[in-house]
Amino acid sequence: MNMKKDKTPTSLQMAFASAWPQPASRDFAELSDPILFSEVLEFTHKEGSVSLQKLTSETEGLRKRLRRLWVIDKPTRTTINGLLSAMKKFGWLKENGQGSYSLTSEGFEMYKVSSDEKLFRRKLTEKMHDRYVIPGWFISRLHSLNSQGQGEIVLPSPPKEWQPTKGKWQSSEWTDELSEQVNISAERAKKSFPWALPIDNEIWLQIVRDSWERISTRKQENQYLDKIESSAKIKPKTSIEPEFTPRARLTQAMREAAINYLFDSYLPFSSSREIRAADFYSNKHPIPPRAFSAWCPRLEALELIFYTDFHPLISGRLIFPCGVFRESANHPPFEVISKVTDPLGKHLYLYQPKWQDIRENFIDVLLETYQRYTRKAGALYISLLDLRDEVCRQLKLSSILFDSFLESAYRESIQEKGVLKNFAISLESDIRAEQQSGYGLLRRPVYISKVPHSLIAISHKRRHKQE
Amino acid sequence: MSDPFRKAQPLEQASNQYEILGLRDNPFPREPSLQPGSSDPRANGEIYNEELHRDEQATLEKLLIPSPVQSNPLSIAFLMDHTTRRGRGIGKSAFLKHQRDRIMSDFGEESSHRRAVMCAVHVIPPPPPPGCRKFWEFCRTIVEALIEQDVIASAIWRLRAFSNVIPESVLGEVGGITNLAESIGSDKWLEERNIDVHFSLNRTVGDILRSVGVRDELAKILAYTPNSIDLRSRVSSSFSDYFWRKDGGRFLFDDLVKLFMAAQFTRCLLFIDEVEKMAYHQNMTERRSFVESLRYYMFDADFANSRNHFYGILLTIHPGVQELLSPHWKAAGLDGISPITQPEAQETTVYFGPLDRKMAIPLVKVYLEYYKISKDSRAGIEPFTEDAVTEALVKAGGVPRPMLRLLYRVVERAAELKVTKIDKKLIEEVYSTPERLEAEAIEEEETLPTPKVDLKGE
Repeated sequence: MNMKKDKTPTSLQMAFASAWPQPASRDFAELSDPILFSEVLEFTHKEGSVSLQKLTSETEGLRKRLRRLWVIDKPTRTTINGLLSAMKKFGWLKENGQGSYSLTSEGFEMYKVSSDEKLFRRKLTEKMHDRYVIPGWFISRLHSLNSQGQGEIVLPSPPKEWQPTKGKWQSSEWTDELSEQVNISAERAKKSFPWALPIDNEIWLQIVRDSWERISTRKQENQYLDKIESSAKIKPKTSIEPEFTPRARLTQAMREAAINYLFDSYLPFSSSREIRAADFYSNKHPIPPRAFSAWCPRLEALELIFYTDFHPLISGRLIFPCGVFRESANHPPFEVISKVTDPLGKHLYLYQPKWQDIRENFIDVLLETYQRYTRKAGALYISLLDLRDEVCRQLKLSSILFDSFLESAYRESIQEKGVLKNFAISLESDIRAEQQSGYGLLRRPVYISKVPHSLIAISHKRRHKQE
Repeated sequence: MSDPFRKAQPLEQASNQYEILGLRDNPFPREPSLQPGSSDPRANGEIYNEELHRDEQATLEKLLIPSPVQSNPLSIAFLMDHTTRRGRGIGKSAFLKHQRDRIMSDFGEESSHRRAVMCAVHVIPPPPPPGCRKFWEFCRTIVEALIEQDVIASAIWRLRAFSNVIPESVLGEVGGITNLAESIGSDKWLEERNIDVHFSLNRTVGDILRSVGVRDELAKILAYTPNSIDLRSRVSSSFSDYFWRKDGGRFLFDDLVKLFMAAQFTRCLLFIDEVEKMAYHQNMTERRSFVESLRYYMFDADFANSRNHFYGILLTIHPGVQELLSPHWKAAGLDGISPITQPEAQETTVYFGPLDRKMAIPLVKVYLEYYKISKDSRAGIEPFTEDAVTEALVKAGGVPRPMLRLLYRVVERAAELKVTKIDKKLIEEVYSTPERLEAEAIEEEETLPTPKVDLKGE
């Protein structure tokens, strides 16, 4: 019997065609530093086997490390457990019993590439995408949210100048003052970059208010455990009527509201929640707020995105992708990650220009941004990290690339080459007050010759009189 | 039994391991920091390349030193150094010491083109304790440096010469400035020439000081203590903390200025190094009070200094300190007099920048020249290649101290490897170390510039 096939796709077929594969795992450990993986591979290769006890040993264990400017003497047992578990699931380690692991053949291959940091990052990206799907999906989602603005997204925080007095913990009352701050935050974000907060003002106010009320009804202890980075000031109190800071609670409410709305499985501005609009065939949120906090630094370390909570012109977190899904692209400046594809079969291309190709553009943006910031600050030296954030935003660079390009520019200014022969670049490793404690410790410094730097001055070079 | 009066024996002369590099010794200091009393030319400032900071010297003169073209120098100027909290070593201490020595060697004759008679002191504030958080502690530190560096003694010696007690024939025996301490500064030397030091000379000097307004008890101490060692001991035993708190400012900014002026000095430069050692340890109130006091004693008080603009202060600051002091500077009204913030600070600041390649090579050369075996090869930077020096400069962030330290290690390594040439590769090998920790919100509504890269484009 010769039945004629109906070529019109069904809604279910469309759903599967546009959906991302179901992640093999939704767990996450706060492992943002790819060097941890390579160190364990190296350790296992050298010792023959590895275990939790060995890795946490005072004498033999993993080296002291820096997470941004935060010195970590030794990794915690939870971190090591998460690391070993992830590496086992990646197929890099196999368990030999009694908590001992050894390298698999794939693990050995990864060990061999671990000395090449860039190649290792790419392999890790493929592995993470294969297991969690988040790396590729997140980049695609950023572009979907703001296709005109190349995926730049702002997750607003309350305006910096708003410093309200404390309130009683159980108070969930929503006030006009809170509404005003929520509106100001959205307007500022939209003013800074018109498409970076793709949420209607009324919806924004409503979802933040819902989130605020939800947080207010949580038990205080859970609130403490559920804290996210930006609300780290909240501490459990033993008094009968504990207090909270409205700023911290509103920050958390805004962050949760924005993440839940923008990074849901459904694109927020699809007309209705039809199955075809979902990215995953699941009701679970792909990246709830706690996972979001862990994934941002991890994706940043893999050069997939750039994010900052300190951009001087934006109150909140600015995120943008450093790559895009495309049919094809030239190499350089694009580098294909062939094993990371979207549901339409497009490959992930990371923007990885060579110094000689971006040199002119980089120096122009660096000098122009420096001039703008130094005029505002009224100081010769400005924050190198603020400068980095804006240069990276304009040039879609990862922070790792920025470090490398700034070092090249610095080298050229010393060697008096090209445009930079007329400029003296001074880089300082002073650690500024805001970097010495709290969340500031977690802001990535700029590394030049592996030394963290935080201040920069660019001035016209003085000339010897006889010249 | 061990000899209780045994003396240390010199080390046996080992074979010169640096000979293969054409050097008598490792030319670079192992611990590059200024040690004025050291006998090692690598550490005591003897190896100094004046050409390196010729521009900074010219700016310093323009800002602070009276000259035929500058009759009204600044009272407060800044030396903005590029040192860092964990990586200091741009060479500013060597520079300031050199400037101090230069002025004291001829009392500013050359630098002011004979327009002024000057003295200068290089002050390094001590870290706490005792620290220099309070203004009276700052005054005490300056006075101690003025004593230590023979500046007050020089004034007394000149005053002795101008007292009309010492005959011209004896003054003619003094010779140059470097002989002052051993001649006119020495009671024994004067007595050998039949000068009645105690009852005539010192009494006359005391009378002169009293006549120009120096307080009686201070005039007596100054007139009768003409050498720095005795003066230091006298000041530390007689001047309590209470004195410094109550009267330290007046002593420095009035009494001593009257002494200097009576000795016919027309200006005294105070080179204050490492201001961060004061500013970082001060709390907000102390910082404000310090800056207010500085303004009062330099400009507002009815003291000899403010009336005559006698002291010229050079404050060595770096970026962090500029940020810290800026609000207090503005609040005290000093920003209108000696601006600390950009862009006006350009007019009051000597910028002490990092080295570039053109400066690094002469610096390396001056160290090498001192230790080269063969005179024939003195002109070059052998055994280094130019690329090697450039690489060391980049690795050191353009800062001389880490560069010199790196070069020290490289020479050691080269001697160990018995290589004859030091190239970029060797610099990289020696530098290679694991990652190390060395190392105001602008609330404004503004549309950000559009990105310059289109990820979806060609």
